[in-house]
Parts: sequence; C-alpha cells; structure tokens
Amino acid sequence: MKIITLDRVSKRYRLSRLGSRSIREELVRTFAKLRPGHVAEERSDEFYALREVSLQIERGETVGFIGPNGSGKSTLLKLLSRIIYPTSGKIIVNGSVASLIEVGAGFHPELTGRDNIYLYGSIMGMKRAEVRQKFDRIVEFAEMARFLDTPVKHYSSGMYVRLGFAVAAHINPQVLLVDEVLAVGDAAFQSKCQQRIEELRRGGMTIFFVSHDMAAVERLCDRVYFLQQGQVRSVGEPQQVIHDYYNAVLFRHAPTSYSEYSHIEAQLGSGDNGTRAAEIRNVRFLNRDGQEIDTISTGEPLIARIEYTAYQTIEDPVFELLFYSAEGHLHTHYTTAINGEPIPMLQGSGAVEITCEEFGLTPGLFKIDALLVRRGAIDAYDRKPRQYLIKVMPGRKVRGMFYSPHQWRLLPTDEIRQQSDAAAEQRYL
Amino acid sequence: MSATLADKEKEKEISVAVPAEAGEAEPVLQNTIEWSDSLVAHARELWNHWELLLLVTQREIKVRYQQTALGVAWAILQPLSLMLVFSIFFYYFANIPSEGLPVPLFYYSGLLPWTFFATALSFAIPSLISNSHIITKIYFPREVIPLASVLAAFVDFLVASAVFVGMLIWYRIPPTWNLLWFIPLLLIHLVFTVGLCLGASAFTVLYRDVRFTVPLIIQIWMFASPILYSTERIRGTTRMWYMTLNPIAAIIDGYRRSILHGQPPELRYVASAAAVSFIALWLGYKYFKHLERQFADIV
Repeated sequence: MKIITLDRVSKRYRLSRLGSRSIREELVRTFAKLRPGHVAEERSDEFYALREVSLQIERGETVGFIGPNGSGKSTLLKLLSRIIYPTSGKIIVNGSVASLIEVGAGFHPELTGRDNIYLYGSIMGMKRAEVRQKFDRIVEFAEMARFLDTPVKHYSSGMYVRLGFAVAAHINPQVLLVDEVLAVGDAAFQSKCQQRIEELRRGGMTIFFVSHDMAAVERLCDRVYFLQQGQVRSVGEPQQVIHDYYNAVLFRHAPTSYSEYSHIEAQLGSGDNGTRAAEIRNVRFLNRDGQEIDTISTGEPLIARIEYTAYQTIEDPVFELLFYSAEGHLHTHYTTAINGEPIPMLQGSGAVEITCEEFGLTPGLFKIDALLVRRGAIDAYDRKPRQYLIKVMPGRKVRGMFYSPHQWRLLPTDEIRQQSDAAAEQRYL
Repeated sequence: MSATLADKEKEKEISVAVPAEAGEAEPVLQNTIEWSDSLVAHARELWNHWELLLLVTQREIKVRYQQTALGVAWAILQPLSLMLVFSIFFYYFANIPSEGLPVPLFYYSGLLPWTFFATALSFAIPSLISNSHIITKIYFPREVIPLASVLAAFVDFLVASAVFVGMLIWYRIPPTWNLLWFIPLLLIHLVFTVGLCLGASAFTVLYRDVRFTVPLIIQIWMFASPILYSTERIRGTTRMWYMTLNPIAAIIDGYRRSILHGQPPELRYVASAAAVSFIALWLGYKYFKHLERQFADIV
C-alpha cells in the first residue's frame, strides 16, 4: 500500500481574500453587490500555489522536492502535515506524519524547557508516557540539561531550535517532513541533525525532503520531484531531475537574477573603477573549437578571452577573473599572476586568454568580475564588477562543492612490494 | 529528455499533473484518523488528544497566574469584589429584593456561574488568533485551543466555588436532595459555554473586529441575566421568552432554586435550556470544524 497518495490536489488562494476580514468590509462588499451596475469580482486575483498535483510515495522512500521559491514545495508540506486544506483533490496518508518545519513553533515562552518538552511533544502527537520515556534522550540530544528549568523566553535562538529539533527528532512518525531545517544551529549541531535524519532514513522511515541544496538532495533521495509554479515538471532519478531543474530554472531566471544583483552592481560601479590607464573591453568565453559560449557543463574545458585596450604603457599587469555564485559567494578565481610567464608590459589593444582544461564549478549561474591590476599595487587599472555571466550545466557527475580533476591507475602488485621494501629499507637505515 | 522521462513515469506508474477537468472535486483528506464531516469522528480525534488538551489548559493556568501578582486568589477576588459592590449599591441603596436570601449569598450565587461563562468567552474568543503561530505551523485538532480556555475558566470556577460552599455553611443553608439538581444544571451550563466558545472563536478568526465587541456583549448579557435581580417578578409569556432565549438565565435561576431554596428548578426551562445548549454545541462544533480547514490560511 502506498503510504501517501495525492490525487489531483490543488491549493488556490484568492489574493484579495488573504488574511481575515472584518465585518465592516463584509457589509461594504454586500452593499456594493446590491448596487445596480455592480460588476462581479474579478477572478484574476486567484493564485494557485499547487495545481492538479498527483503523486504516490512508497513506504520507506526518501523523496526530494526541488524547485524555485514559490513553486509550491512548502504548500505541499503544509498540506501533508494537515496545517492547510486542499481546495480540491484527494490526499491519502496511511500513517502518522511529523514535520521538521519550523521546529519549536509550539513552545510557550513563559514555560520552562521541561514543560515545553512535554507540551511540544504532545502537540506533535506524542503521549505523555512516551515523552517521559524519551525525555533523557531528548535533553541529551539538545545538550541543555542545565537550562531545563529556565523559561524558554530566556533561551538564545540557537537553544530554542536545538530543543525544538531534539523533540521533533525523537517522535517516531511513519512519515517525516524535512524543510531545510538543517540550516540551524552551529556546524556541530547541524551534522548531528543530519546524522539523525540519516539514522531515521535507514530505519525505514518515509522522508519528504525539501531543499535547495542539490548535493544533499542527490545524496539522500531515492526519487526527486521538480516543482515549478505549483506543478510537477519532472520526476525520477535525482541526477536526471536535478539536470531538468537546472535546465529549466537557470535559463528562465537568468535575467531576473541578474537584476536582483543590480543594486550591488550599482554600488560597485559607482565606486572607484580604476585609474583608466587601461580598460577591459570585453570578456568572452569560448569552447575548445573557439566558438563563443554562455553555457558550459562541469568538467568541460573553458577558455576565457579578455580583451583590453591600454591607453598608455602599463607595466607588470595582472588579469583576474572572479566567479561569484547567485548568492554572492566567491567560488573561484583565475589570475595571470601565477601559472606562466608574467606579462612585462602592455600597449594598445589586445587580448589575453586563460584556459582551464576541466572547469570545476558545479551547476549554477555565475557572475564574473574582471580585473586588470598592477602586480603588487592596490588600485586597479580597470575593474568590471559582476559584468559577465556564465551558466554551468550538469556535466560530469559531481558530488560536493566542485569537480576536482583527477586520474587513477591500478597498481601492479610487484610495484607495491618494491615500494614497501624500499620504505622498510629506509626505516632501518 | 522528455521522452525518457515519460517512459520513466510509466515504469513507475506515477501520474504527474493530470490535465485539468471541468469542475472541482470535493476535497478529501484522510489520515490515520479519518477526515470526515462526522462530528463523532472529530470528537474521537479530540479524545485522542486529551493529554494535549490538559497540557494546554495547564499552560493557560500557569501563564495566567504567573503574570498576576495575586495568583489563584484572582479567581476568587473577581466574583467576591463584585458581590460586595452589588450588596452595597443594589441592595442597601437601591433596595432590590433578594428572594429573601442573605444578600451576599444571593449575589454570589449569580456571579459565580456568570463569571465562569464570561471568563470562558472572553478568553476563548481571541484564543485562536493569539495562538496563530502554532496553528500555522503544526497540526492538531484546533478545538483544543478554545477548549483549554474554557477548562482554565472552569478551574477558576471550581476555586471560587469553594468560597460558595463556605458561605452556604456560614449562612446555614440546609442541604436537601434537590441540591443534586446542580449536576445536570452544571452539565447544561458547560455544554452551552463550550458550544458558544467554539462557534464564537471560529467566527472571530474570520472577522477579527468581533473581538472588540466582546466586552460590550458580555456586559449586556450580564444585565440580561438574573444576577443583580431575581426572576420572581418576570411572569407569563415574558418569563417564557426570557428563560428560553437566555439559557444562562434558566441555569442561574435553577442553581438558586435547587441549592439555596431547596426546591426543584422549573423543569420546562431546564429542558429548554438543555435543548438550546445542545443545539449550540452541535452548531458551534460543526461551524468550528467547517471553518477549521481555513484557519491556517486566514489567521
């Protein structure tokens, strides 16, 4: 039997009716309707958070849900945890559901940690005896035995979340909903949370995992759904669906994410853009055949051609490219200061080519700073902040943060023996 | 790509984004506990959460008494102070008759059940809104929240009742078998209060401005109930309408007759109050459960 079945489930909101109304508004509305010449309310303010979504989940599966913000992932989790109710369609859940969404939401600030463990456990559907039985383990997991009798309002936000997660992680539901809670607490606690989820997963629990962390989705999930605008765009093997996701989202959202960062650009652009003794005219990306590209797959060769014009003779120049992720993190850095001959001086127009045999960044949209500086100097000749763009598509199968080129070979047995003999000789000498 | 995906979907027998059909099917949601419209099923689910109900009630009481300097004494002070005020102004100054009963006892016997009703209403009505942070994040039967307000008020009522028992002894009111009428009366009293609190709290989620009218409504209702005065002089059809439309009046009058006068209450009004109360509970719970599905969207 399927543990979860959704049959054409939709959740519709009417934007004008969001939030509670007042009697006054209602009366005004009613009278407006009675007036002659009244035009019926438009239906254009309807908004589907989910539209006709059908899915079936097997017992013990770990299913990932990916999609851009506003694609309906959280709505789906809220429907499954019965917080909200579908506008139409059918949801069948054959088991108990617990969610790690907003852990600690049931805490009451005036009550002590101890009282709150019981209260929260009970809200999450545990019996009092069950909480009592698991109490010590919960306290140990949260690492807060000392603060048990302190009202929760005096807790730091980290303690709050730790206690919330500790309770939630010790409920034994048949279905667990996880919504990026892993981004809480310090690194040590985060890894503890991940371990706990891994433990529950191996224990045969059905897990719904919503995340933007593709690496985690790929590692944890048996199957992945890609949601977009409230509909299922694709479903299947994690690798394939993540590929579809990048394909759909990166291309569609490239212009918007560009404008999202325009304020940073304005800031960067308004500042010192260099001495203008020389200028970076353009940066172009080429493939091995010399064709200009704006998209590359992980592991493919990348050639970056930086075109410059020097208005006067400039000495000891260094060209640099900095790759920033959509979130603004610096992911990698190419420079002419290392690897190869230094450029002694430049005059007039020309171009510099930087070649990377195997491009290591994982899929995403990257914005690039191009810099022309004088070696060892503070001011740049020219600075082009976030001016260039490259999309990275899934190419080589990569787990983790980036692809690192590597080779391998199988060692012949006599070679190993020789080496260990040599090492032994060395030790005795 | 799309072709291979389509194959994959077929393989796994997963239907994805079935095209829209005309008309929307009535939403159905099932869980371990059947989601249905039957109030019995809802009540059974509530019963499964009785521990939660007790804990939330405990929380209400703890938090409320922690914040007031007087603590539990507050539960007694409220009806007691009003009793003194009424005794002085309405009896000694205005000479309003007290059914021949000791004056403080007469007023207290009205104020005690009334205070429970009024406290329950005034705490239950905004309860869903003030607990919106939980409602939008965790599922549990939502009626737990207003019910906890009623239960917390009931605990106050029990504490204040101790004073009433003391007064009965002090004024040497002889106990009779008719005293036992207080059991069905209390049941009706509870049923009416719960029904009204459920309905009103759900209604307030929908229309927030209702909250501000609650103190006024409670005040008007208090004057419409026999707390300051006796029902002795209300006769004929007026009495019939008075007692039927306001179950609280029939209940308070019933308490006075059975406990203080040692008489049975007027049975037809007990019956009408019971009928109104059970209808109120049924409608209130039905309405609550009907709106419950929207709570997290609205609140």
